[in-house]
Amino acid sequence: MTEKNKQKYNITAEKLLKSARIEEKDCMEFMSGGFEDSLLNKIHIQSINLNTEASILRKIVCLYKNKNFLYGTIAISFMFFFLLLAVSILLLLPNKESPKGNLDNNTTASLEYVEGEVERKQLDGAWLKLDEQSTLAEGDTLRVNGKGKAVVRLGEGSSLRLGDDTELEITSLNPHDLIFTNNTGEIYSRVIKLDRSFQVKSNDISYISLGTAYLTINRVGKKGVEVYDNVVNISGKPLNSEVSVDQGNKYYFENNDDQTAIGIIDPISSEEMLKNNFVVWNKQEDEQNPNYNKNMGVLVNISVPTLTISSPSNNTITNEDNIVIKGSTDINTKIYINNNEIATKNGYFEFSVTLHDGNNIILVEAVSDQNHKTIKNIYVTKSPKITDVINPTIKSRIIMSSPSPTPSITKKVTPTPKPTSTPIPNLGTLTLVVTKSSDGLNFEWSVYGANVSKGYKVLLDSKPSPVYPGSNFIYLDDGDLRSYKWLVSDGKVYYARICQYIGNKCGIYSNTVTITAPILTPTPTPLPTATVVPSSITLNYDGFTNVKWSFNGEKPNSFKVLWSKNPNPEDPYRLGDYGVYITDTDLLSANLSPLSGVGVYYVRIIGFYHDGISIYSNSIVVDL
Amino acid sequence: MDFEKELQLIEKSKEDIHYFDEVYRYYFPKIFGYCLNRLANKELAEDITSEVFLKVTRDLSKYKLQENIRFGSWLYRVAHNLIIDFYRKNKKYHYVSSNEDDEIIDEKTNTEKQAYITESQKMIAEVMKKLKPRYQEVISLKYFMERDNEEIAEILGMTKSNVALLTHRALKSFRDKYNKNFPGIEIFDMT
Repeated sequence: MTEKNKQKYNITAEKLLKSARIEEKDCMEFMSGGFEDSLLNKIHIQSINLNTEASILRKIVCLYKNKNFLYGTIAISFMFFFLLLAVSILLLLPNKESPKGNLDNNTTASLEYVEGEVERKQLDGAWLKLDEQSTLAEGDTLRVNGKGKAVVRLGEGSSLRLGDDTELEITSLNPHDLIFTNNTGEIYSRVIKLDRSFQVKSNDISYISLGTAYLTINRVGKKGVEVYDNVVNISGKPLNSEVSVDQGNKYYFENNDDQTAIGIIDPISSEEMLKNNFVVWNKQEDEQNPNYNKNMGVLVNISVPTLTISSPSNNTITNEDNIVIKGSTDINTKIYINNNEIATKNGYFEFSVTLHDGNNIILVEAVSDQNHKTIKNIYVTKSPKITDVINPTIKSRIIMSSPSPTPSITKKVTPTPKPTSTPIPNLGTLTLVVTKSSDGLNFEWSVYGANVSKGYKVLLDSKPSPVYPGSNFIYLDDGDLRSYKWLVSDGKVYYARICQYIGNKCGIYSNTVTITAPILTPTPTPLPTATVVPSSITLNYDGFTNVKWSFNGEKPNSFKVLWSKNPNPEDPYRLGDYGVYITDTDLLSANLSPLSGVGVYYVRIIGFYHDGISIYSNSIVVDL
Repeated sequence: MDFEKELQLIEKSKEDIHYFDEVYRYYFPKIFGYCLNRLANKELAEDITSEVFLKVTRDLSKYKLQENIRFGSWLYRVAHNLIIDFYRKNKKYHYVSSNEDDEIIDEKTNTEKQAYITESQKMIAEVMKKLKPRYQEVISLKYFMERDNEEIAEILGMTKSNVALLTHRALKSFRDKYNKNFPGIEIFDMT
């Protein structure tokens, strides 16, 4: 490579990308003749190929309306092909209904209940969070991500309930042939009695029911079905023939807990059902639904205490520091909230729980005399109600939900009554202090009782309550760290906090601190006292792509050649300005490229001296 | 194209593909341009553009607005994924001559404004394919498609602030790989 080619062109990646962009208006020049129309024809033909006979006829009419004989000929060919295909299928499978059926009459499906994080798979494979009442469609795949629950309600009345870490695909919503696929996890199907097929598939197995309550399990080490009401027929590999499993029985294809229980129809004991919180929850849900509670099957054998949470409702969002849990249970049943026993009166209870910023899961347990448990999780999100007003020059301490001695508090808070009962168990707290320095924000924090072995996420956002994922973050993998400096100097208001990193997400969040970033002001350059400044730099053009320069006075420490299609290119650059930074001051020429396309460019050179002094040359015009 | 109109046309296209023509005419140059910028090769750009439109029209019934994916965003996403697939399957595909004596920046061939892919564009494409897919995507959307951060956030399903952060990282990665690949011209981070 020649010396010339090793020259460093001082251009940013951003400008290089912009300069090389092929404009949309120019793109068509690159295209082969007729490509655009040809592709559109292909689209039309493909559509014809994919549509039904009626649709094909419509397309042919449209094509003939366009007087395009070629299209018409192609369409007719396809029509004959499909007619033959349809006749062949009808002859070969006379009694087989199309699994898709009439899509216009599909059973509707919606997400009736959400607990935790429920998501739907997008076309590009990404997962998008779903809220209650979301409409679902055939082909949708949804999952409960981590701990949580979801209820899919069908328009015909049946429900599918998803447990922790469960993925469901809605394979067919044909009202005569409903098909769902249990990709992973546990799905409880509550099927109302109708004259149609309802099946849940899992791997190569089909669990078919006309009106049943059953649980399909597809987890590592455990695969099978538990039937609570009516009958489920199982077919598919590795079975040689269909197996019918009556209510009160289970059938496993895989069971690492008990290898002897594989491939046989085995009774389910009440104790087994009681141990499974998901089954217990399903039983309670069924009991509350008049469409289901007449067909409880063996679920009636589950004797667990009732537990009704009257407030708050699940997935509540609040900006209060505390939330009151109200509910009722059976008399002589103990209630535990977050593992702390609380008092009840005639079965009723009320307890205030302190919330931390972000997601809170409140665990409520009802325990009977026989030690049977009913467990409910209440999901509550706390968003700050106040903007913490912080004098950036003073360290301010804000503590939220901390059981530690109260430090000085500098925030405007409407006093809230303190909990009168037992405090929540110590889940740990992070307490954050943020101060401003000349070039950034200094984060300092303390940790109380939290496991920070996986480190922290330091969060900064222009919106309140920064979260991970979502906000700008810095990951610190060292849990022993207690400070971090975030370099930001744009003078904007930011919301800062840190969180305990627990792998893929955050656990405990600290308090949020609102703070204004510093504005970086250049320190005034003192006038040089004994510096010889050149009187001028003179720039010349050789008529091709080279420019040369000379100077008088003190030699600069470096040069920068600037060129642009706009007059008087500057440093720092404006849009369209380019530069070559030259540290070899013996080099007094540069080769320029037309980075904004060929044409006339304005060129200047700037010489840099110590103490921030610089001087521009004359401006010349070159044709590149 | 007006959003409401686009939506209506797509819904009607599910029944009659001819309603798709107007949508196609609107998006075709954008998607072709996107592919051209990414691939720096007109034949490949045509192939991928064909695949994009044939795929989306085949799956048109699956397009649902409630999934918060604008149709244009979907098209770009499909194009991006197909390009990534192409790179994956053609790892040895190179654009730039290995002759080091070649002029690194030689855009004089473009003086007559003819439809040439310049060396600079080929070099960029060569570097782009070495970036993480996510980086390729954000750079393409921002600098080739000139999408603002809000639109990119919608397409990538992330917040605007994260788009800015991702762009910053993508540019840094681009700069590093460019400098490594083409030591004759060095990009500085002057922003």
